[in-house]
Amino acid sequence: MTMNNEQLTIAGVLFKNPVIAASGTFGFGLEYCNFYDVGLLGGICTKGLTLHPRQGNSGLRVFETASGMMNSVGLQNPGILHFLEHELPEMRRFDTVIIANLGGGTVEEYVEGAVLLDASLVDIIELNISCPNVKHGGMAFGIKAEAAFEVVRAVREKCRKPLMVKLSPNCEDIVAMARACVEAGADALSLVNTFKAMAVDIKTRRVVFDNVTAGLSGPAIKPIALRMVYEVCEAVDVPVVGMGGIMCAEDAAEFIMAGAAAIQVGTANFANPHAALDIVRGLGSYKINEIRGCIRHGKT
Amino acid sequence: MTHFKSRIVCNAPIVQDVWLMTVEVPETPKAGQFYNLHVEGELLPRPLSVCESDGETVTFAYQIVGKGTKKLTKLSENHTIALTGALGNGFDLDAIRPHRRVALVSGGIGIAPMVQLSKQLAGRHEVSCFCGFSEHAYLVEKLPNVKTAIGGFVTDLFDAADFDIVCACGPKGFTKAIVRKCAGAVPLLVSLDEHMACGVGACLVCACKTTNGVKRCCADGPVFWGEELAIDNEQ
Repeated sequence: MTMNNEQLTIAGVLFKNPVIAASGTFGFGLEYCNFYDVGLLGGICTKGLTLHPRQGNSGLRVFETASGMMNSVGLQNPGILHFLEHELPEMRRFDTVIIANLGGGTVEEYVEGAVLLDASLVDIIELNISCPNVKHGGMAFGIKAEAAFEVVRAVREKCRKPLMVKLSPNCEDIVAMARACVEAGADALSLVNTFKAMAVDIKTRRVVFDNVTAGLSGPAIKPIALRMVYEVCEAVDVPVVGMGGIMCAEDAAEFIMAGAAAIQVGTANFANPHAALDIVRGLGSYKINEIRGCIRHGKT
Repeated sequence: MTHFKSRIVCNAPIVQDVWLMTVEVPETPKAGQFYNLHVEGELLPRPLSVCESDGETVTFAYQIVGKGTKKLTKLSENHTIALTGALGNGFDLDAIRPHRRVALVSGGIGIAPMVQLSKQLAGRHEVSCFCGFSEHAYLVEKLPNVKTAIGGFVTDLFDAADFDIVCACGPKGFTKAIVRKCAGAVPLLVSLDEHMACGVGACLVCACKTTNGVKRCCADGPVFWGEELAIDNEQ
């Protein structure tokens, strides 16, 4: 599906449309092949990958809230080497942009992971400095702009692939964070990841999650996510990929009007396995070039 | 596995907070497979096991446990509902085939998949059913050779040595008890009850620990061999 004869490029990579499946909600794309040709999407972000395999968190991992859900998966993944050998060759058969989401606990771990991905057939590395569900899943880097700068610069120095940094809404200052990542060499930014949240089971008088907190996503976070995307688009010159509670093409259009180059669809995939494709089709009725950023700079 | 909208044929209570919903679904899922039911106004779908199917309709037995299942009860004949399925692998009939004496053991609403399973086993096996309930029995009239336990332990109703294989489904406490009872005594196929989001193996929220690592209840299960489950580390 082409977007009104325009070409969308992010970090030098050509996208057939601005709809990307968000990390952690789409597996490795294979899981949704039964429903539609996932090659119709603009791109697919992999499940968050780490240098070494991770088993993920114990206890309950999902909890539904008013207009949202919390998850505490904890970056369960087979590790980058397994991904490169098994999942990536399968994903490369899809005619779409493959974005590897990379998590880590230390600067060294991020760099080592990025070096492996840099030598692979992935199109873009999405540096996840925003997972709220593991102590060393990158969240430490996602709070303070100085820490983010350090890890992004270290990865940038060793990595030639396009680098997109995924920001946490839990950071101290989203604009300062965005600027720090761009200054450190990010080619693009994606935001927002989930909001740190919690729930209490009043029957058992205990917290619901073993980790106490979990990541909130879904329509409940959309207005805040949209505000953050808007603020970041105003502040930086690199492409911004917006996400947070996008359920339909109209939601996606809001983010694009706020300035997003593209959008990611996450939780909506659970509510409707066709959601991402429905959004591709729904956006077909908009002139994306005309609406992108139209609310900014006094444009109408 | 598809995502589709379908007409509700009937939706009515059978006892207290347990309902039966029949939906037009022109396929025959395996016993132990499930569908995600997308309830209007709820973000996440509700995964429900197939209780019966006749090639044209599928019937679900469900218990009201929260807002979503409460909303399901408001749907009446001719309403449409969105479903995704059939999901999961169900009970492996080929694995059951070599065994003559089969025990179907359920806890509470876990009786639902046993109804379809008993039909698929009928005539080829000696099937005995053991069903536990906290207050009221239901669906037992659809099963052969049933013994029920009301308020007690269904695992006390039978001797594992009397059977060649056990197929089971129930809540977490039940699963623990049945895995322990069958360990080393008789092969066990047990369907797990986990909270899910996607239902297709993408989100990893329904993880369960097995001797072969962490598995996805929805896509790798929901039926597992009892000996695979690392049950003692759970809760």
